[in-house]
Amino acid sequence: MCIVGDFIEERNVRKILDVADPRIVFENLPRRGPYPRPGVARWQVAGTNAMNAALLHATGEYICHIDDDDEMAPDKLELCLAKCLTEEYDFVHHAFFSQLPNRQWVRLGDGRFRLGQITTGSVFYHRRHKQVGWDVEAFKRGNPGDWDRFSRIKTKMNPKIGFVNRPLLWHYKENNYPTFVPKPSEVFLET
Amino acid sequence: MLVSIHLTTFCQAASGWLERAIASVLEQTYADFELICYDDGSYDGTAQLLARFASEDRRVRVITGSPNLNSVAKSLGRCFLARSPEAGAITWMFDDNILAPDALQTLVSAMERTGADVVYGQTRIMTVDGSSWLIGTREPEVIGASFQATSADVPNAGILIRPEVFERSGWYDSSIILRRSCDWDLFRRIWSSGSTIVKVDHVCATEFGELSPSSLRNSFDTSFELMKRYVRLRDEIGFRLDVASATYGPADVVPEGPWSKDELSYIYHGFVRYFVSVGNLGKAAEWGNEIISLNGLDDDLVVKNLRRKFGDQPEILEAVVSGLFARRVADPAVSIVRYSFKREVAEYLQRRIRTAKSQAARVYWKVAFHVLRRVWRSLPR
Repeated sequence: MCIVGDFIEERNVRKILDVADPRIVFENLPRRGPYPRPGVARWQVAGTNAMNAALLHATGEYICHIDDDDEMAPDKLELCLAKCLTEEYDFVHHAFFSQLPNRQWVRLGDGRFRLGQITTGSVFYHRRHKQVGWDVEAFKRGNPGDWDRFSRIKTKMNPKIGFVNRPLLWHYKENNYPTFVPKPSEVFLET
Repeated sequence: MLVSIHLTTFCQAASGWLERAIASVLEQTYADFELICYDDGSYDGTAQLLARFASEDRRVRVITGSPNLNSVAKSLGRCFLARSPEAGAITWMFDDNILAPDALQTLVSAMERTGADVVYGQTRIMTVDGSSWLIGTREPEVIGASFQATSADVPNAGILIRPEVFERSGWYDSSIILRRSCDWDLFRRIWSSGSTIVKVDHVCATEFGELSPSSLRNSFDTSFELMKRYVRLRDEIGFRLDVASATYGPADVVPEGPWSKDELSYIYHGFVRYFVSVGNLGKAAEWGNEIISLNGLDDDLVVKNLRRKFGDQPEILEAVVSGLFARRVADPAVSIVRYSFKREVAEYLQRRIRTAKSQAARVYWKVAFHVLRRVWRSLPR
């Protein structure tokens, strides 16, 4: 498991190190960004640098992702890997539960490969797709970073795409972060 | 046939109840069993007591949980996942139960004789005034027909179930909304899973939970109407109920639906109480703040002062919000029933609007819906 802190606080670094599981590789980036200033554009691509750093650390045959406020179902890896191996898919996505702004839950991921039905934590793919990275300028195309990348993978790599019709992720609503405080010397992308 | 007995316990060593419960298992006339005990974060010598039993009898195994789960769905789920693969049936009991010496013998004999998937006997429930009553006296088909009307007809102790039944029915739902009545929901699903169910006329267990202030039955409120609505919406959305998901998934989930403010306040209140009970003040405060927000209490004088004075001391703020504002919810006893009826009618009308085959019919149902809504709004609350 490759955890990359996007220039996170020392107390959070300690929490990760306290887990002390030899399967965890951890790196905290020395600076955050540059990302757009607070707003939709920032929401779309914040974390891109950390995700790309994590891809560099990844040595596994298959790769999947999880946001720091989401939860995986216990059988996610098992079912996705089985789908890839038995049916020779090299990119699978799956159903997931998603929390609405009012904190109630719905089921998303209906099998269609399209925006709104796929999220960062609902994919599982072969490592050859690493070569298509996350793009911090996805916001200029009006896309969230995850959808932007997955759709580029589909276009450029032409993977055999499968779907697991079982919810394998609890995707929580975005936390109400406290008032935005820029990191020391943080620079911003122009939108 | 190896029977896997699952017992979850919290701080009943000092009272002597746990020792009595385990002794009643070890004295069974049917000896082919394993007893898996889940110690749910006890701090009263339970660990030592369980270790002693495990060292004296190789059939006893202990899982030590920390922090406290306070959820039978989750703790019994961990026991189930740790069972021996050769176990042909499982049964449950709690630390305030005792099994009759021939309980397993009776249940196993009935299961082997009939080939049933589920066999249940009766459990005697002891009450605070010294009287008792029996649960599990009704025939399976009678129970099956009454799940919409009652929440307690099947015993948790004194029941034997083949593990494969849960592949069809799913496991206990760990939702906090169901809490102490998650058994009602599970048995409802087992009854409709196509399993063969047999009753034996034998008192297999005695339950003393009503006498214990710390037992689950005495620690949490619930509303049957709310549970039924939750279950219906949960099943429509398709929340997963397989053992692993129910055991390790989140418990504070509300399926999307037309909940009223009172109902959500009541549900969130349950979440706060749950997270306080397991020592997670951060999550408790999160839901306490939801109650504040839902009820428009952000400008409440006390809330404002609290946030101003302790805004930079999150631990204090969390504790106070958790404890204090969790109680500021409407009494759901009246409102939930009323909302339930209103919602049924409103949903019916909305469904007719959605499925109307002509424009005229759509307009007709829309008018009916709006007239009814105006009438309801004009009624005194």
